[in-house]
Amino acid sequence: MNLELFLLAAAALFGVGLFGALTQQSVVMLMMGLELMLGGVILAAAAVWHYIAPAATDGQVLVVLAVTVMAVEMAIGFAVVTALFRAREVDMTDEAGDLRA
Amino acid sequence: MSWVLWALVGLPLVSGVLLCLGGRRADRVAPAAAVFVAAAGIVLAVTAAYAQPRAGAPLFQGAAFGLAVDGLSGLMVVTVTAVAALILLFSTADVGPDQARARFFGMMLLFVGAMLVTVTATTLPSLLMSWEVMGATSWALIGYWWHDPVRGRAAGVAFITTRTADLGLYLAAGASLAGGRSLALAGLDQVARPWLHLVAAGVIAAALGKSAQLPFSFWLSRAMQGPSPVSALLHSATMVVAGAYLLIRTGPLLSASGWGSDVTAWIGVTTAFALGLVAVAQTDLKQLLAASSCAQIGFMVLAAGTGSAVGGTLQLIAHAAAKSLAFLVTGFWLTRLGTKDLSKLRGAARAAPVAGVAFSVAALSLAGVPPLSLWAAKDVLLAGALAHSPALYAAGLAAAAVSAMYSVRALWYVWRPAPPPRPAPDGPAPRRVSAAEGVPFAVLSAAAVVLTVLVLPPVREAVARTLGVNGEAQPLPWEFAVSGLLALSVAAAVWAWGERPGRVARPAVRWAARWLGLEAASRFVLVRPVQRLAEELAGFDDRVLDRGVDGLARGTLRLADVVNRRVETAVDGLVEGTAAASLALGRLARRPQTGQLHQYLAQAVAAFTVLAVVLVLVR
Repeated sequence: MNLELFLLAAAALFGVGLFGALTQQSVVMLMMGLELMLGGVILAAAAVWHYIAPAATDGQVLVVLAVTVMAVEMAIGFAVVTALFRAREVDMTDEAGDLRA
Repeated sequence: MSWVLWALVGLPLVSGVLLCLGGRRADRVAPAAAVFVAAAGIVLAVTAAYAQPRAGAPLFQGAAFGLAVDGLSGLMVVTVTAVAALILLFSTADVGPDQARARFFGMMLLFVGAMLVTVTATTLPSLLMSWEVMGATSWALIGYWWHDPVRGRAAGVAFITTRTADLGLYLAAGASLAGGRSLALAGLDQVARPWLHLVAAGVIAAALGKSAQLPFSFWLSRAMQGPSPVSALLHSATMVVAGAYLLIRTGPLLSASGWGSDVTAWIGVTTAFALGLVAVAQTDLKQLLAASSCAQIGFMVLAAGTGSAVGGTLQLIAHAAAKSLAFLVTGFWLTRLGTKDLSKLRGAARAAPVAGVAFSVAALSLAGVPPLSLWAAKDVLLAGALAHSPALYAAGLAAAAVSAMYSVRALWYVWRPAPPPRPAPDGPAPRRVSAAEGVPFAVLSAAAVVLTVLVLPPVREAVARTLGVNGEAQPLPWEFAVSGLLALSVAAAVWAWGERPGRVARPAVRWAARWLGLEAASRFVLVRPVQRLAEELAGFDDRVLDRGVDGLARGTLRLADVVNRRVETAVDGLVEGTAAASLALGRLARRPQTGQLHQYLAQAVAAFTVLAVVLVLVR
């Protein structure tokens, strides 16, 4: 168990998430890709804190903050998707194009 | 002493301008002021003639405004001022209070002032200025009664004619400059060769025009439309003799040119003869006197041409006295009797003996009857002609005989025993001669007699010394006798002949009465072609240039229209097309940008696939 292993796992997670974010047409699947990417990021951040500066507590705080942000973001995202589905029977990004900023 | 000279020319000029500017408000003071100025002018002129001052003012580079009094100018300024003073004195009676007196006397003074500058000018610029002012004031004086269009037109004819000849003086000035001389009158005979002929031709033309010599004589006939005092002044001591004076003054130039002397002499003697005949044919006294002026001045021009300055000057002075007197008496009759027609003037001399005697003295003097002054003066200049060529002398004698004819013819009419002419209505009684009229009559009559003294040998030599000439031909006693006898016999013959119709063919008489048709001829030869040319040019201007400009404008408009419709739309279309194409391309470029990430991935995969295929195929 060492840092490289964790970073490899984080990179794999991020890669799989990126692939999902880029390829999926379903909103739910796309958000799943985002979850995986963020998971990879959090894993890498935690591993870096643990192996490189375990004495500093700011790393822990940062990781906890990232997890919280991810949870909030996903909740909002799923709420939007649910509302969209209920309103328009839509679960694909292609039909929800009119929502773009 | 130059202040005398400035005062002499300045006084009449300034007071004349002031009177003219004063307008009708100055009418009351005008006669007195004018006579006073003229009297002062005599004093100044005599002073100047003795002191012989010079004056000058810088004007142009190498051509100052020069004035000087030498012997000839001294005689001239005294003559001019004396005659002008007497005529102005007469005018106070002749030009009544109901006329615009300020304008009349102001213009007369200006006229005299211009003549004074003319006879004292030493450089062409000052001569040209005064020459022009004289022409302009003569126009204003001849057209004094401008309400009458006939008189206005007559003034125009006189002015335009003299003005045309005046161009010669400008030509002379230009040629003199080109000949590399300053513009001094004294140096005109040393101008370089080819230019000298131009200078001589220009001076001769200008002098002939002002002096109403052939072929310019007709303007003097039209000038008779002015008031009588104007005619008296214009003919005796100012404008008309200015040309003769200029020719006498530039005598060296005429002889230097080689041909100028002969030309002037022959033109002078021809004028003296032909215009004498014209005078014989006139039925109007003023016209007769006008033609006589041309003829008498022809003698002066002859004198200038034959180089007898003394004779010419004596003739000029004597003629000034006689002719102004004749015109004054004519004016007197015109005012009193309301006519200047010879046949209606029968008995006029008997009605007012003072005027009658004065007129007789003037007419006999003009006729060249001894012992009056013109008889003697004419012989002095004819002696010069005889030395020059006998033919000239013979022609001069013939002209002298003609002068006796017309003078005695006029005399015969006014002395006819006839019921005295009825006075003009609302005029003064024809018998009464007021002091203002009588004094000039008396003085001028005396002058016509006394001036003969100038011809007697000791006095004549003094005159020659004054003029600075010597070695001129002297008349012999037999010449005096010949001309005197000729004048007397012709006078007697005419008196005896009386009114009986002559043997001359009617057309010839009519032709002479019409002043040889000179005016019609000049209209035909000069005025009509010029007007025709002007009309043609105006037509060319309208038809070609104007239309060309308009056409150019219209063509430009049409071209602009075509460009607007064809080229502009093409350019516009190109621009619009470019814009539309850009727009379309932009739309096309926006189509793959759906915002759908998975589609971008698909596009990238497709693009890379194509790239790979291309690479494989190209390699």
